[in-house]
Amino acid sequence: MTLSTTDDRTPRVGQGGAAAGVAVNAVSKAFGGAPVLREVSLTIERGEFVALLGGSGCGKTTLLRIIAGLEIADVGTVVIGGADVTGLPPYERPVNMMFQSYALFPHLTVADNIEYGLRAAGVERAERTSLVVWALRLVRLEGLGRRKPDQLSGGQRQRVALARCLVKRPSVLLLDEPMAALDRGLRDEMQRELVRIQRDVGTTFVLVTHDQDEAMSMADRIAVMDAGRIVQCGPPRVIYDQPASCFVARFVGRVNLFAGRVAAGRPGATEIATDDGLTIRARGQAALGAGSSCTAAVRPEKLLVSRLPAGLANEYHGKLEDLAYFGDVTRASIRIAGGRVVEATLGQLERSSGAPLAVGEAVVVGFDEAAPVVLTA
Amino acid sequence: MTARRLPGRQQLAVAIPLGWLLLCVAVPMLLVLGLAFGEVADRIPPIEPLLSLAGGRITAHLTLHNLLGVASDPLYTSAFGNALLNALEATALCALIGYPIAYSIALAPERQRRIYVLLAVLPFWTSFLMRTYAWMGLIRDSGPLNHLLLALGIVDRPVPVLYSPAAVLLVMVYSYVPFFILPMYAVLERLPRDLLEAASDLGARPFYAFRTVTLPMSMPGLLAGSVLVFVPAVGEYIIPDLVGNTDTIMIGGVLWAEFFQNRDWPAAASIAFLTMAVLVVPLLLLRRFLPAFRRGAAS
Repeated sequence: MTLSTTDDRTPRVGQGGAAAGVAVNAVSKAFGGAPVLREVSLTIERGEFVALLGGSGCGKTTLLRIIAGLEIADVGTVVIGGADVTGLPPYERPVNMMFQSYALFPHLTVADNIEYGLRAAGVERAERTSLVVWALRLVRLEGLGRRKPDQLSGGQRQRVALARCLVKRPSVLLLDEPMAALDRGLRDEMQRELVRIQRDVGTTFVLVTHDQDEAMSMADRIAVMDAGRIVQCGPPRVIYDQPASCFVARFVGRVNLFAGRVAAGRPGATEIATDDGLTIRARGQAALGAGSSCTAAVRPEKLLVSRLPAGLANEYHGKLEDLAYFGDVTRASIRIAGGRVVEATLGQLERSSGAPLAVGEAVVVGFDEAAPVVLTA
Repeated sequence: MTARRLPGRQQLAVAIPLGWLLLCVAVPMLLVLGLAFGEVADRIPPIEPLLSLAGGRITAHLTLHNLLGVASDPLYTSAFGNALLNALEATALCALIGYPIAYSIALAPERQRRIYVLLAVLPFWTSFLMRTYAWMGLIRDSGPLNHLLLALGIVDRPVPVLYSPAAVLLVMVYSYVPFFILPMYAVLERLPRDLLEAASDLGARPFYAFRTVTLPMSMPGLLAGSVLVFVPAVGEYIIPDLVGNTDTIMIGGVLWAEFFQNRDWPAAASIAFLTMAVLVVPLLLLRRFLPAFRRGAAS
């Protein structure tokens, strides 16, 4: 397969060329007896952009390093582009990794850094030169080839690290927290830039991040990790709207969780009695036996806050305790009967209609039957 | 108003090392330089006064004769050449032996590293002379080395190792290798691991990564270690005297002989001064280029 290119300057030379899929099969890894990965399996399609999302110590970076060959799995296999690479050292794998520290060679110029992998592979000089020019242009660093890494800004260093990987035309590009060292404005810009570059070169991207916004905005699919396992894998929208567990619901986005038991369950409608005495009506979620424990998860933006009841399936009286203004949204904390505080995001509509809500006011907070996701894990 | 001055304590802090350098380095060097321009005399000290007061006039008795003589006499120049060659060989061997040792210490688990560094400097706990005598015992004709060679049937009569240039080199490398290992280790230990991982990830086989990343980045340690070995090795006097033969004269031995046996202080001072001059010039050049290497390793 030739690379899909929107850029006709893209040279059709190099080592890797074609993007490849990755399959991680039942990989486990322990460091000094402490398990870091527990039977992780993950299939990544050719040309896909997948984010490994999780907190520190969840095993996401270890998984990335196992794909790169920098760590060897205790058990399990890694397949790249249909070939089992489990036992191959990093220098024989058709993948390249962008390190969190960038790991640029300080004794080499920018151009020599980018050229390094081509020299190591024995690419001839003329081809090397044209590939370096192409890579510098791809990451918009033309004219900086003769600088040393310590003469560059953080954002420029990151681009060099990216170019150094991409010039190898890897079948899979691995990115370990690429934005961690950048400040916020630059981060947003580089996120868009990375997505553009991924579309341009068509390579499979695997991104490790602890930043849910980064994962949501960039990836085709997110694998949420916790304690050495992938707890859910799917498109950002599915992860957000149908989290598989309380952990995922909490980790990706903000959420109100109501723990309780199924009071009456029949196909198409579930009634949940929460531990603090509320009743929640939810649609769908078939076949949950009465009495089984579960949690209703409701996103703050699905909550409606008003002065009078609006006739929604779930409505609770409460007192507005706090308003936090973020410009685009306002977050409201409401203490409802039973003492629980729920969080609601006030949209444009609620903020503009009538007199604005004030802290201390008695309000009704409600959501319809479709809003809650009923979780059993 | 006087010009801004350092506060008293800081002045003291600067004055102490400055005074030390003046007293223990600058003054003796000037004395040596002065001696080099003096003339031998049959008296104590065995030298004509550099300055004399006669008829109300101060006369300086200075001559270039010693310096020029030492610089042109083949006895001295060949002894200097021998010392230089020997020091180069010792430095090269120290690098070849010390680099792998320093590298393996740097790669060892953190807790073990301290033990290995301690082992590397452990010989310093014994007097240098004792260790040299121990080597003499090991390599003499009836020593353990020849016993072993005979027992293994490699030779049928003892090999004369002691009192040979090889013995000088052996003991010098043994004595100096810790001076190479320590700065080398200090640099290699700080070498970021992720650079080697990046090299491997970019397709570099281990040896290629070593040649293109580890070696250039450890150049400051290599240079520092080499200087620490090479400079004292050139002037080394005890080891060639104890384990070397009398045919290969080195500049350190010549200096000793001129001073103590021939009582030719001006010649000895000239040797000392010229040797230092020949060593200092390349070192100053090296220093000019060292910061560039340092910068490379630091970031």
